[in-house]
Amino acid sequence: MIEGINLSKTYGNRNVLRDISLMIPKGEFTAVLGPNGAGKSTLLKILALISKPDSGEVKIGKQSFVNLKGELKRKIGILSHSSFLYPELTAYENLRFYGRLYDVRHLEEQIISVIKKVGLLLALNEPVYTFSRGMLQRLSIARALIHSPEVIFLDEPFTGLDQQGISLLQDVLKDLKSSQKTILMVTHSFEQGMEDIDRILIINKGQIAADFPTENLQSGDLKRIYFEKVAS
Amino acid sequence: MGRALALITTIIKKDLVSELRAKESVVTMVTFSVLILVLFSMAFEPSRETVREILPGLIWMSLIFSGILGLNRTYARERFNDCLIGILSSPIAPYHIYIGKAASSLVQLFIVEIITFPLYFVFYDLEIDGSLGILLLTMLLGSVGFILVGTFLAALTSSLRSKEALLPVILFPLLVPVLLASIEATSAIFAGLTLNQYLPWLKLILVYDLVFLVVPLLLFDYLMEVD
Repeated sequence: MIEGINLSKTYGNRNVLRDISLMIPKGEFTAVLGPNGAGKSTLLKILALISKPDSGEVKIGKQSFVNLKGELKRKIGILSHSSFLYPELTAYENLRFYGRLYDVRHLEEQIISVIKKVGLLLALNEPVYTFSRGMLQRLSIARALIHSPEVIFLDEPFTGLDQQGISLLQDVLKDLKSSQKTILMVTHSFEQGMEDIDRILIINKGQIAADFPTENLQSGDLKRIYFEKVAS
Repeated sequence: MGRALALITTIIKKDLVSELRAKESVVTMVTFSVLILVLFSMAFEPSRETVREILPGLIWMSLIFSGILGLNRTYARERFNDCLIGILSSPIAPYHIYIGKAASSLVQLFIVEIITFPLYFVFYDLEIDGSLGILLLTMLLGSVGFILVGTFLAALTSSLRSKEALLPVILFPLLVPVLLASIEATSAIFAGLTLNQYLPWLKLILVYDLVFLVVPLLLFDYLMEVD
């Protein structure tokens, strides 16, 4: 479970988040939609404990991040449109580096397991600067999963992916959902990755403009609701 | 403690392997250092007594200038692909990053020193009347002070647009005590003075090193905050 309580964040004179509260139960796959500058990525960074809110509190499980930040970070995996990968290092060296930061047990076996999952076993010892955009994003998925996180944050994960990459990421998301991982995805897209979504949050001007489950949602409803809420 | 050491070592190894592959910093630093010493050897007559007097300053200034080239690269690598966010999203304390970065920068500076220092004997006919061991200790302590403050300020400027220009501007005023003490101690060792005559300079460097080890540890959390 992830809980954000009264989260606010200001950059200069701009209120990016205005007293947002939300709760995402364990195993739920939530998508966050909103226009550019709505505060989606800021919300994700705060919930993922890499940015501090000006006010408010984040809880993962029942634990608050104030005293247990390091421990809570072990439970979190982040997949962004940036890969967080070092181009001079090989795929193996990148995974080993992140695995060590998370103190992953049986790291060698875990590296092989995640690299197989993303279909890059043959490129394991290739330097990352030789990778295509699709391969980079697949390795980035492996990096995000190296420590078997309970909660996964996705920030525009489909950006720049080819069809094969999109298909692989969708498979990975299905797999994560079936293993009861809690997932929060920030996206612009109304289509990609939306098949397995349980709930949608629409954020506009730093506030939650809509929050609804996807069951019973008819084709075209999402776009209609989105434009109604964003326009208002 | 063991876990902290493991994390710091992980950062150091990653930085050094990246540098070994990219050869961006050390090659540039060595080339710059060698160029300075060659150009100065052509500009001055090496046998002159005045050269002996300015040599400690020249050695330290060339090290500092070449070191700044390396420091500017320290966080550039982390900004590429948003790797710093990747690190900060893991259960690592910011001070692990600071110590790891400082240690890997120090290793790179030592490589520059090992390569360039013998060249001063060749180009300037350098003779040391004092203890070589204490000279090496002075080089070590002075380099540690420079790298500690430089690593801290490089983190401060790393997200700014004009970071390459800004780092030397804010770094040099803070380097004055350690630079002055290192030059004075090096001069004294070259001249063969007794340890008691330059011990205060060594103590000053040591105090500087301690201050710039502790202060960044206290402030690095704020520097590493992600907006």
